[in-house]
Amino acid sequence: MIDLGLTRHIFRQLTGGKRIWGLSLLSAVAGLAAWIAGTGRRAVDAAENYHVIVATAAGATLSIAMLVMGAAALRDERDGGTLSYLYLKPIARWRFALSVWSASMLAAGLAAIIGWAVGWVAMGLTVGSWTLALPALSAYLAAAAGYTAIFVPVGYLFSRAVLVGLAYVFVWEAIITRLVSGLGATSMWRTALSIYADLTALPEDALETLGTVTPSVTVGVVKLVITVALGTAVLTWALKRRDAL
Amino acid sequence: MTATVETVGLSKWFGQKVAVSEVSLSFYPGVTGLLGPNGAGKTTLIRLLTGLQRPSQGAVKILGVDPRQDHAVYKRVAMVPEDEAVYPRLTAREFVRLSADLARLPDRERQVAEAIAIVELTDDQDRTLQGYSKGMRQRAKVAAAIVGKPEVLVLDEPLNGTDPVQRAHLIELFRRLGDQGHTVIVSSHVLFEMERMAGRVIAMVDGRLAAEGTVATLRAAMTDKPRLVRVKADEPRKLASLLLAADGIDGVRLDGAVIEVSTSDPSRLAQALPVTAHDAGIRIREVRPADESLESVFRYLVGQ
Repeated sequence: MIDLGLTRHIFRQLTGGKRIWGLSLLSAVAGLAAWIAGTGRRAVDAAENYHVIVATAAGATLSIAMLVMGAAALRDERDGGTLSYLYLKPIARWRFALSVWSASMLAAGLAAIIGWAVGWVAMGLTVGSWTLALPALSAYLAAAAGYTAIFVPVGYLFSRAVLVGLAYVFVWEAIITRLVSGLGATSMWRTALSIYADLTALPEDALETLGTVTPSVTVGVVKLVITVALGTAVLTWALKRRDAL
Repeated sequence: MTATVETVGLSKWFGQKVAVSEVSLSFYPGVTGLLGPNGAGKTTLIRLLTGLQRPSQGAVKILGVDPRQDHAVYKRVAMVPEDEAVYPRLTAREFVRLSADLARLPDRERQVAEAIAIVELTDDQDRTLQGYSKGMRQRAKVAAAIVGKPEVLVLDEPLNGTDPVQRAHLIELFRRLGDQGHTVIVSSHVLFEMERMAGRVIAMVDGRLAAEGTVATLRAAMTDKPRLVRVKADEPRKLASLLLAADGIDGVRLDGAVIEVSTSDPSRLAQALPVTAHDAGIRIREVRPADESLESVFRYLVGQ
């Protein structure tokens, strides 16, 4: 399905510099906040606090981290003048698109796992539970997969991809999908959260973030698959129809 | 001979700017030079030929297929882009290996080693590209392109940044590939380089085809071009009127204190000018060709 050489190359490019550490730190903000907020509190309060912070703060920080990672996958190649080394290869464009998304998802997933691990360690040390934070990993990984499916094509199509992505995160996801309840299902963070909420009992404050979206692993995963398929289709179209340079 | 690369009525525009206009060309095995001043449309034409850009109008066929539709053709086609860009953190060997991996070449280790040896980077192959000189990066790019021995090799200003020895070596390599039956398309804005490597030259200016033929044909066309020479002298009006009567001078125009002399025989002007000025007791301050740039030569060819 994917071209391993291309996936490996893009993954190396995305994770080879300092960016991966910066984005891992950004992904760790929620875990660090939960650590600080939970220190000195009762275990049950610290645990509830962790779920609420992940449901709210991680949505903002993860989406930005995934935006930077996803948009960079092909934008860096395009802006850096190296895209022709990849484009002029005998790889079917749908395969090319899927390979780039896979690399981007893996790199974003790595940053997400590092970020999540901070919270996991925090809960282990403050609450004494090493299983409490495990369900949250699903939200981190689902966010990595879903957001990169959106932001990789954005990075290829728009020279100001980060601005376009920020508009998506802060205007579409944060405002429009909240104002229009029917659009809540299109929010990638809520999709990720719906998987998390189905795996563990989240406190009321955390569930508020979901809005009208029902907790469900199955529905969440199906939505992720559809998002990845749509993202791959858009990128395939762009690779075929738009100028590569 | 069958054409390996063909364009029919190829045009590309970006908004109001026309980069390539109605170009119909055929390329055959051997080395073909794309010659033209900067901004002539060579790079855009190369990007259209390789499928990196989509034609606004017209069609491209490379080895019988449209490269934007049939990507399998890239197994037999390679390109060296003009951009200096490489992956700075990769070593030359990793860079060439990446090219071989993505092209799914058989026996990659051997082919990579061969390509690196051809461009004489074997001793430096394990150094990262960020430490390379511009010329070495060019050679690494060439190695990445030739690694699969592609049937069609397109090179955009491949000699940029190379020293004379490397340049001679690369020219020899391109000629050898051409002799072996590969279609090598090389762009340059330097006629002298083109003369040494390309049997056939296509000259472009302003996105259009200006001339096509051997370098000798092109040179012959260029010698017919009237030359414009600017002369500064103490008494320009008097000297201008005297020059009008001199041999080998097609026209004289006074532009303030500068005399613009048009001639189709520069050597006769070189004899007549000092004699005329000396006889009239006029001191010449400066003599300078006004339009010796390659661009002006190309513009003349387009106008013919």
